[in-house]
Amino acid sequence: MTEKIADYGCKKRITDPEVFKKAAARMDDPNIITGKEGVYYLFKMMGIPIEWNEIFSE
Amino acid sequence: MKFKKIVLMILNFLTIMINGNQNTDLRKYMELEIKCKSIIRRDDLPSEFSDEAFNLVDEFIRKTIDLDYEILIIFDYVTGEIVKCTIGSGINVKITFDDDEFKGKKIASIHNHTKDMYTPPSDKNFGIFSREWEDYELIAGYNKLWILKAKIKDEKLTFELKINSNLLFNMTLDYYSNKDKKEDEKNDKIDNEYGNLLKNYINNKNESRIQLTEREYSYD
Repeated sequence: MTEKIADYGCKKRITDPEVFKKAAARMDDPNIITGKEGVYYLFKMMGIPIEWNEIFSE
Repeated sequence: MKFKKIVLMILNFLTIMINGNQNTDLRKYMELEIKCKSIIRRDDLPSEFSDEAFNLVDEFIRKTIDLDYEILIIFDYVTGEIVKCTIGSGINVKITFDDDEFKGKKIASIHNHTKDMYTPPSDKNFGIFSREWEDYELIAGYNKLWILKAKIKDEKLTFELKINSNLLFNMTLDYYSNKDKKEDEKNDKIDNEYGNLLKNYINNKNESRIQLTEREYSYD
């Protein structure tokens, strides 16, 4: 019998304002593809149909 | 129906009687109070799930909805029998298993995400695509039930979903981080939008053996 482990993790809701601050800075960094643009290119790369205006309701 | 319920109770009691931490955890779970009325409908669950499995899932949500710790149950979704139960610590909950111990059973897992956790599956929830014995992974958040059907087993899928779900989460986080919203609003938005993107991503594989669905509910 070989014992294995099944792990069921999660992500905690963010409570550190610094995390939001750094994330916002990534949006402002022209060298980083993220936000709507990142989602759009990821979906297109994976062959998944998506329209720009379908990404993120405001 | 009543007879089946009694048989199930006896089976679960016998499971508790066998030594081991997991069965202490099962006893603790069985002793939890039910906090509210039934909040999911029968057709919220896959049609393969029996009435007994529905009752188990429904009861699980009603027992765990306001807990500040995670519980994981492995169950047979045809018989409704609890096979394993464990109480988690921190941000994960895990079980040890042997590949043979689930033979002949139709297995699903359910665990709760506490109120300080995002409700949708995270990059840590796709190991199911590498586990031959597990067909469904259910996640009971404070206001949503997520059901991940994973009847294709391919380690590459685990890796693909791990990476791409993480990317989708981070891109959603980045997008909503510079919006003029309070922290709770941002987190709610991230929860909803990331969840929608993940559903879109997974369900666009157009493969009936892989699916992600969500059902919203409220608890007063």
